[in-house]
Amino acid sequence: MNVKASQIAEDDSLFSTNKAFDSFALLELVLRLEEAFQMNIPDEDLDPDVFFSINTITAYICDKLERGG
Amino acid sequence: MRVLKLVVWDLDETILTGILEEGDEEVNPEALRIVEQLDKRGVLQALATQNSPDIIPMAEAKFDWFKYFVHKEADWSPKSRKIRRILSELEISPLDTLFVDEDAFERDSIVAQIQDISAWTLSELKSYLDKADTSVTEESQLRPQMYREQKSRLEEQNASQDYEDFLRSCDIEIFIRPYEPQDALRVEELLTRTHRMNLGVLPVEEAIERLNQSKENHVLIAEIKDKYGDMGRSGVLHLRPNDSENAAIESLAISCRTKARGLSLAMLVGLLRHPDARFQEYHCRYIFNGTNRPLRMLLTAAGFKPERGTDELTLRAERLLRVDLPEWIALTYLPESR
Repeated sequence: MNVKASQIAEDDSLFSTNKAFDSFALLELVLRLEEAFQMNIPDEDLDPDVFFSINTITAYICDKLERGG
Repeated sequence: MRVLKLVVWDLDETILTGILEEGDEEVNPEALRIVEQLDKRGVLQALATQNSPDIIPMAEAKFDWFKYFVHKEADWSPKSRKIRRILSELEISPLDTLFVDEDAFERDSIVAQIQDISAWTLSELKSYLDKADTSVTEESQLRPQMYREQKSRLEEQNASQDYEDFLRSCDIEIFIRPYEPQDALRVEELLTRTHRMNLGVLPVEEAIERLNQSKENHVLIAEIKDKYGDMGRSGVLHLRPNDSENAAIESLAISCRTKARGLSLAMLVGLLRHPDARFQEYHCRYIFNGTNRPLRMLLTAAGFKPERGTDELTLRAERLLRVDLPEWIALTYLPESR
């Protein structure tokens, strides 16, 4: 995609801002987060309110790391 | 073997009676008959041969039957590596793939190195085809052609300077309409052959039975076309109303060829927004079948929220209305088939 990270505001809805950010992009994002943070993201955490924006995803990851991943 | 989606052929002494490099270009007529039969059934075919890469352009110019192969690998690397490249390029599981080679060593070697792949002789494949169900939908028959069209699409996409401009130039259209009896075979095919984008909570036979049961069931079909071709009926949604406000999703399957470009989300949202499907709340169960994690992501993208401690998800209609569809996709509701 020709969208730079700097073009996505932290509160922007990922699915609205960049309409080529589709479900396969979400799958790739989740897999990369799991690998980068050495954690498992279970299906019950795949909540549209969690995976809404950069800020909400960050908050989720931080919370999960604090609770021991 | 799960569903026969792809046949990977050996060339020398399988399709050909002899060895191409030694000048033997005679084709095995039985093999050619099977190649043509597979193409009519919509089974993709590829070639993996221990030969110089130069033989591909030569063979394409010389042999009319070379056109049946949607992907060809010719080099001196191990055959297993060639087959893995084919599976990766076509995004087909070894479970749905058959390798054909008259050499028993080659067959056993491939089976030992690629888990879940099947490897048969020509005669075994012929027996299988003689017994297999011959009913084939129009979409299935066109599958090899659609893969060739997809290759053109990707080549143009790679050449495009701007991905969104490229998407706009594709003239992508989604048509959503109610189910009709003539869709039965295609729906069964979608529910059987689709793995990554298939809710798959019910066994296929039960899903079909429930779909045909009550008049109150809402069954919707999504068709897709773009400037490269008509992909036909690519999605099915079966809703069972619980009452006037809530419905359960009994079946949902979206053809994997629609994975790129936000199409899957547009199809799902389009199906759920159909006038026949105007409920306040939608419920579904999601069970991981080994390959359908992309569908779980799709449900999240559409706004389905998980119910903690269960395998159920719920979507409120007002949330569905907030999902923006890409401007490069035109969505049309039809009262009946085109």
